[in-house]
Amino acid sequence: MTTATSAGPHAGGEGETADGAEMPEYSAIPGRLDESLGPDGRVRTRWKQVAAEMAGLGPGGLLARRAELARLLRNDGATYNVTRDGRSSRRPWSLDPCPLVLDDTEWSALERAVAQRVALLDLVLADLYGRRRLVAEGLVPAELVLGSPSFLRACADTATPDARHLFLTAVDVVRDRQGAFRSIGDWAQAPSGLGYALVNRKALSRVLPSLHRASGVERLAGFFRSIRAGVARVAPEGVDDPRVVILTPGPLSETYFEHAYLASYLGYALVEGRDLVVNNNRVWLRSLAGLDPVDVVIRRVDDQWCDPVELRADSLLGVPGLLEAARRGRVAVVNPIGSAIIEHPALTGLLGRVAPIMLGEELALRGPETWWCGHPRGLSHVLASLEELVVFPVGASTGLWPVVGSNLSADALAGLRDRIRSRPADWVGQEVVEPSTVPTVSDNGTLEPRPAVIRTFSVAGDAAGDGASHGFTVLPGGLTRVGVATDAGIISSRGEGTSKDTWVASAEPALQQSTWLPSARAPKRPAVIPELPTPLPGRVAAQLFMLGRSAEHAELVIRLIRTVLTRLDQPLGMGVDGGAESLQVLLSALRTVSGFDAVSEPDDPGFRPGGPALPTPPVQSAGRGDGTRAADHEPEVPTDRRALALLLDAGVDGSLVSSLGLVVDAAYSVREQLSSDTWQLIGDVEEELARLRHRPPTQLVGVQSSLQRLLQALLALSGLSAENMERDSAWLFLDGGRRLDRAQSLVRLVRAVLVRKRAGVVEDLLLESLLKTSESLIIFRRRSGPIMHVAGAVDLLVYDAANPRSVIFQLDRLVDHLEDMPEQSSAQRLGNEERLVLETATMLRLTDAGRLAAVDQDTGLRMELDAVFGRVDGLLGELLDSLRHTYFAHERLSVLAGRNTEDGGSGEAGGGTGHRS
Amino acid sequence: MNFRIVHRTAYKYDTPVTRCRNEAHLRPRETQRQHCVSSELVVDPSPTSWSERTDFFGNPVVSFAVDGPFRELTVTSTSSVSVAARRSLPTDGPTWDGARDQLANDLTPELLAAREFCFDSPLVTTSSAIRAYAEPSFPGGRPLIHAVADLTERIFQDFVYDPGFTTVTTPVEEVLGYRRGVCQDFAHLAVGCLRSLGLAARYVSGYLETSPPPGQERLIGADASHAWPSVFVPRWGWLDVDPTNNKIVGPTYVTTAWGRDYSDVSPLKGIVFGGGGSHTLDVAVDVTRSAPLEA
Repeated sequence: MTTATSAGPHAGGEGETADGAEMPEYSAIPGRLDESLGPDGRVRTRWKQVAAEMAGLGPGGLLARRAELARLLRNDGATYNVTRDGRSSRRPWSLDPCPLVLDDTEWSALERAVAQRVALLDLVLADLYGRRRLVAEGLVPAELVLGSPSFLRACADTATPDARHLFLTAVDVVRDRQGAFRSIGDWAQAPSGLGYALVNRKALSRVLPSLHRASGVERLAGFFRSIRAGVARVAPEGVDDPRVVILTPGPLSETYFEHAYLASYLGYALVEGRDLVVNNNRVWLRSLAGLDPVDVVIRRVDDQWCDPVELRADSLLGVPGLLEAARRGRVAVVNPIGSAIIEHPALTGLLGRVAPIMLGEELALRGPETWWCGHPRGLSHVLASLEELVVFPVGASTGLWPVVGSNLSADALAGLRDRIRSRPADWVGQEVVEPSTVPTVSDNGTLEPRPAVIRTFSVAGDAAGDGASHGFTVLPGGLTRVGVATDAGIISSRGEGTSKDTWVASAEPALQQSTWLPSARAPKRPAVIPELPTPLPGRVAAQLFMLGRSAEHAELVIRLIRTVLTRLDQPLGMGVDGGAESLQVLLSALRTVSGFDAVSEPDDPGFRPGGPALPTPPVQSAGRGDGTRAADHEPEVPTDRRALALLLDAGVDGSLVSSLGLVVDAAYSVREQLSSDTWQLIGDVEEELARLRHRPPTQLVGVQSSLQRLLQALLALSGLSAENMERDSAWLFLDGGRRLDRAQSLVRLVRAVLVRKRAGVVEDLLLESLLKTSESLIIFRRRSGPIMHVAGAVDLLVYDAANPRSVIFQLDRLVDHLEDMPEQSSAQRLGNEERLVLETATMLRLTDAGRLAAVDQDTGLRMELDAVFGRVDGLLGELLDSLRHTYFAHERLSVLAGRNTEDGGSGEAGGGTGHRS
Repeated sequence: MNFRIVHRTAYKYDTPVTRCRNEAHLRPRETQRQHCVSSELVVDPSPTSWSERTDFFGNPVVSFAVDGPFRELTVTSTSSVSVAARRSLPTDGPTWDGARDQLANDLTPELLAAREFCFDSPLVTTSSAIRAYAEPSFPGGRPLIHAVADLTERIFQDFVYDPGFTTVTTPVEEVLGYRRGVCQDFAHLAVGCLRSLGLAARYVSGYLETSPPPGQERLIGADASHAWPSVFVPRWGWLDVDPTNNKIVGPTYVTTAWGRDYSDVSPLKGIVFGGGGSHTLDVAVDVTRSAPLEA
């Protein structure tokens, strides 16, 4: 079955294989170590159950499981962002149905080795930012540290109160040809992957439940308990119940999904730099209720971007003053800023030499042999043996990936040599380590061997308490990534290939664990005092408000289009029964209503999908350049295309596609606030949206089923928020956004349709459409019988406080919400927003449906309706602005000053006053 | 010699600033030949947060925050400093290539401390062009001090002092290409030249006496903060030179801070919240000789 010949002694598993166990149709790559098969081609003992399950499923079953995993992951919103040419796009996270299995004996050896390596990294980090003995004694070349852009001098005197500096560390591990585990990457500044490991486990244990149960897989929850305990330990002195935030670069960052996922799993607030402020060297969270103190910052922002005052001045991701607050011990930032220095492969390549001196032990988990070109000996070796090495850039030259010398042509090798020679310190050469392979489901359902890298995670703190773990606890398992191609030697961490759950199969069944701290540790405070609620950052409130508004708006556009479609379906030829005219009115009304003011929140360029609103009617969209631009000015544009444009033109604010884009973006940026059921619906919307964008229908009829699915998702979304959300501030803003949009759209719609008095049959059709769009036709019929009349319809749509679609109903809800919203200024008893809502309601109550329906004989217009609704629309716009100002305003950041105008210097701000003499 | 220095920086903003957070390298540091007798830093409006520390290079740093709203921010640093005469230059100092080799291999604390200044830094990236410019001053075996004096003179001769040409972040490459700039640019260029050859060079910020005694010429940079390079001479110490004026730095120069380049010692930098639109900046420096003070 396999011809593996040279696999050496196998660490841990001892190469024992199970009698008679085989995986049909799977064979290892000759000469490569495979995780599941022994050298004799038989399945290893620890893989027996998994192999049997895979064999039992067969290609069809495996593909079905893979699809099911994709569905579950999508429902959890599991994505990663890829940035290419300055544009960021979300990709679905992918998980293979076949786990990577390690037995607990080999795992405990690996676990100790990882903990030892992390402990050593921790000591090295402390030394480099402290006494620098390693440099003074010549163990580490001075230029490697002092010449590295990652060595941040501003961080030399910051430290966490705990003796250990590295709170959370990731070490990438592979098994080499000889069966030994080797580390191939150390991640310290903001290690990623933990959230993905967690979501992988959740999905796979649901898709293969019995296999998961039967395999005695060690649980992950204990590790997260260690994180919580560790956070309590690193908090500033005297803080018993630390307030913790996870600092994310924002929704466009590559691993934003897991920032949000971990925040909601651990119960910590997810914040961006602009949500935090430093006052008197303390860090505060700008929440709706004011400033909440922060004691621990788990940061996912890279070193250089953490503080624009002392580090990169152009960073908008950081918090001005964070470093000084950390330096003064008023906040714990983990991992400490400056940790990136120990990710340098040339430095970690020296750990083997350093371990006996710093730890008094040999290094158990060794990396590949490494040569740094910044050192003359390293340079000459790399230049001479380029064909046998993996070469990659470090430090300043980013955007380049590891290169396997043996894959290059002679020309390419010569070019690479020149590049290395020009800046040797930026290059590192390493021995090629060939990772072992693991069975992975291919696109036709067969199992193929793919190279695997396991990312392990360690947290500071000795969970076992036996001292054997060097003070670090390792997650039992990890995030396994596999390469795309069968023979790929190097596995990119950037999205190609797929991932695997990593199982440490224990002989004893795993104990049920939870992430909550054991009660013995918890009661530092009397149990009657409820835990502090996680404060809601203003930015999150703004996004929830946007989510409410855009979801409501999309819903309205769909209803209106559906009404138009119904008209089109009916055999209403030109001039027959006013059908054509009513259709034209509805279409222009649709355009009015679509004037959705999509400015989601201040200061946030780049978050808006699509471009700015086009001043011209969106006729030319629909995706085909058929040169009918002249039609812009003619009323006779085929109605089909006009309606399609309002649906599909992402460049038009308020078009269906642009509103849905706002729904999805807003949802992603408040990911941690939303339940998994909600995610499922957001996933549905996103999928449908992608379909509309990629294969835009050319005919309205082709849209109907799409609209139906979208409407269902949106209705379910509003149902979930009505039925399942706690009535907290988050809900107030979500529902408030919905109410405001519903009121404003309805006012605009009624005004656009009814101001001009039309022939009886046309008006009847219009009223019917209006009522239908507002879900009020049935009530109307029940009340008024079969006869349409404007006053009755206006009464129902505007004044009926019992009709949940009426304008008054929305205003009543808004008043309630405003009362419950956190008070911003206690001095003003009646806030500006309350005043605006009351003024709107009063404006409407000063007149009535009868007067609104009255037609001016001279003009044929409903003048009162036009005037009152115009003012109401304006007031609601003011309300929107006022809410933004009160709750969502974020201050703009800018660099203090750049140039000395006195000397006539010119150009961009550079961070301060210069030496301009 | 004793000096009284008043360094006043004033920002005016078009729209109100709600808060700012800054870091100042404005208190003169202690050096082997300089003692800071007094230093007072006044910020208007009054800061709401204030902390002081010594940075990685031993310079005093003040971090402060001011809560607004305000449209003007003034930072005034007033200090008294006594400066001793320069030590006499070594007559038989090391050759430049000898110094280079010693820096590469010697791990004594003194050399290791100087090593810090051998590498690229945020604003000084060495290149073959910079090295090519430096090389004529550094033939093999030339005493380091002579070579540095020659480089200083060449920069003085080859470059036009032009305050309108560069900004605080103009790359050295560009200064070299256009042959013009201000003191900061010439200091960065000299630092880059020296580092490109494997020597240790740092960037010094400070002041020049504003009005020299009668009969002496008034130097460029006397009415603003000044900057110059310094090179490490093994077994002797750091030698400061001034390519803007073609001088060896003497007792009429006051040192404020040193670092790898401007970014380490910017007199005042920070972040403001609000204050959108434009702002103006006004810097005034006055350095006067004073009677000896009681230390």
